[in-house]
Amino acid sequence: MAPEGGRVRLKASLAACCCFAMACAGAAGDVTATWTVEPTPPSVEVAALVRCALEQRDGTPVIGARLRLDAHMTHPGMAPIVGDLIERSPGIYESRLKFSMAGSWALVVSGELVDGRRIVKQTEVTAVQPSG
Amino acid sequence: MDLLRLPILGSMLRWRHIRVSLQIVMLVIAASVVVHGLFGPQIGPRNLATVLTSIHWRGLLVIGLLVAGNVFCTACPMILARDAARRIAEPRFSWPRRLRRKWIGIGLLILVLFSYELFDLWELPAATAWVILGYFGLAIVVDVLFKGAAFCKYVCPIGQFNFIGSTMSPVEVGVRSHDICRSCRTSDCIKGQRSVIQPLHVITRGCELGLFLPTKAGNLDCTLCLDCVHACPHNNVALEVRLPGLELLQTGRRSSIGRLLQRADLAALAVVFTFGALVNAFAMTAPAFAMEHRLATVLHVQSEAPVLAALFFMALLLIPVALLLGATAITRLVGGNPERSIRGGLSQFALALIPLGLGMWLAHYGYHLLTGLLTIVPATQSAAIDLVGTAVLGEPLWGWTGLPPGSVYPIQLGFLILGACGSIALVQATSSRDYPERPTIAAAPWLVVIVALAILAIWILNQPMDMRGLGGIG
Repeated sequence: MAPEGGRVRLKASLAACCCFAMACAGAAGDVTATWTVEPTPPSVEVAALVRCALEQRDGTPVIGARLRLDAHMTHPGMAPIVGDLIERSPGIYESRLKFSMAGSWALVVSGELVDGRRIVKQTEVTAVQPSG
Repeated sequence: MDLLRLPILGSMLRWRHIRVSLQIVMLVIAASVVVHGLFGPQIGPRNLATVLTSIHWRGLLVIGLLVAGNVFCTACPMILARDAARRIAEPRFSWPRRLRRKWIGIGLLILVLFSYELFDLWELPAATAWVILGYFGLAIVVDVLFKGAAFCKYVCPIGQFNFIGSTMSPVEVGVRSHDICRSCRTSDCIKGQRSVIQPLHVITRGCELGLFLPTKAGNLDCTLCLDCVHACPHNNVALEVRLPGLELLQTGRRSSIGRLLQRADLAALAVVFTFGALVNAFAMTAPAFAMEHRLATVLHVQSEAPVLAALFFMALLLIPVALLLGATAITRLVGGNPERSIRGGLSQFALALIPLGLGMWLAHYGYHLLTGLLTIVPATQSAAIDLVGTAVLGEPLWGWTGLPPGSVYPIQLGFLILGACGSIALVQATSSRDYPERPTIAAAPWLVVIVALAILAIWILNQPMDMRGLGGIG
C-alpha cells in the first residue's frame, strides 16, 4: 500500500466516522424525552399506551413536533409496529400500540421539530408479557 | 461436471483476481458495519452492524454452504488484512504440532454461541462492531506469527463451522487427472509456484491449509480459495459437482486430515455443530426463557451467566455424550461387530448428524433471512441519514421486512426434513459398511436419535419467540 494512498484512506475513514458521530449528536441533542408505558408490565393481550414527554433543557415543553413511533423487536428482521404520536397536552405525545410478541422491544420516536430539526429518541421495553 | 470449464462461470472462477475482488467487497461491507455499529443508533433493527450480521450474513452463509460451498471463506476479508500485515512482518513459526487439531476452534465456536446468548449481541451494534474488530485483530496476530493459514485451519470458529457445513456442499475442489499429478515433480498446488531466479520467492501461493490435491478428499479444511487452481502449471484442478455428504463415508487417509475415524475433534465439531443449532434456536423461544428462570431458582443465582453456562453444559456436552455414547454402545452390542471400538463407532456415526445440523441452521437462519431480507433497505437509508444529516436515500421504509413468517414455515420444515433424511441416509450407509451382518438393527439406535432430534427441532420451530435482551436506553 503506497504511503500516500494509505494516508488518504485513513483521512477518509476518520471523516466518515466524524460525520456519523456529528449527525447523531446533532439530532436535537438538547431535547430530553421521558417515557411511560401503561400498563406495567405491558403484554401482548392489551394495547399499550405509550407516552413520550419532550422538553428542552430549561424544562420548556417541546410543542408542535411531527412525530411517529416505531416499535421494534430487539432482534433485527422483525416487522416493526408503527404509529403516529398525537400531542395530547403541551409536550406530551401519546400513541397506542399492541405488541405482537413477548420479549424486549425498542421504542423509537422520530420526526421533526417546529424549527425543522430532526429528532430521534429511543427507549426499551424489556418485559412485554406473553398471553395467558 | 467441472465448474471451471463452464463458459462464463468458469472464466470468472479462474480469473486470478476473483478472490481479492470478493474480499474487497466484503471488506467494504465489514468497514461499514463497524463504523455504523460504533457510531450509529444503538438499536438492533436500525443499525447495519446488527442487521447485516444477524439477518443477511448468517442466512447467506448457511444457504451458500448448501447451494455452492464455502463461499464465505472464499471472500473472507480477514485474509486481506492479514496479507497486508504479512508485508510488514513475515511469519516465522509453524503452528505447534500439539495444537494441530480443532479443539481451539471448537472452544471458540462454543464461546461465540455462548456470548451471543449471554450478551444478546443481536441487539448491541457497538458490541457487534467490537467483536468484528477483535476477530480481525486475532486473525492478524495469529497469521503474522504462524505460517500458512493457521488461523483459518485451527482457530477461526466461523471457519470450523464452515468446514463442517461444507461437507454438505455440492462442489469440491479436486484433480482432473491423477496421471498428470503422478507425473508432476513440483507439487505447485501445495508449495506454490516459485521464481526460477529466486527459488524462495513465491509467485503464486499454493494451498496454505496443507491440502495436497492428489490425496485431498472432501471439503474439510478447504476454504475454496482456489489458490491451487492458479498455482497448478498443468491446469489440472477442477471444481467438481458432487453428491453432498458422501465424503463422510470415506474412511481412507486424506491429505492434512488423516483418517476421519481417528479424528475425535472432528466428531466433536459435528456434535457441537448439530446440538449448537438446536440450542441457538431454542434460546430465542419462550420455553427457553422459562427454563432459564427455573434453572436460576434451582441454582440460587440471579445472574444469567451461570444459568446459560449450565444450559450449554447440558445441551452441548451432557446430553449429547449420554445420547451418542448410549447409541454407540447399543449399536456395538446388537450390530454383530463387537471388535469395533466405541471411539471409532462414535466418531463415524457422529458425523452422520451433520446434515440434520445444517438443516436446523438453515431453518433458523433461513427464517430470519427470508422474513427480514428487505430490512437492509431502511437500515441503509437510516445510515445515510446518520452520515449526511438528511434523507438522501429517502425516509427509511421501516415497514420493509420480508416474507410473512407463516409463509416461511414450510421452507423451514423442508430444510429440517431434508437434513434428517440426509442423516438417516448416512447412518444407514455407515451401518451397512461397518455392520454388514445386521445393518438395520445396528442403525436402529442412531435412527432413533436422529428422529428424536428432528422432532425436537420441529417443536423448537413451533415455539413462540421471546427475545429478552439487555438493551441500552437512549
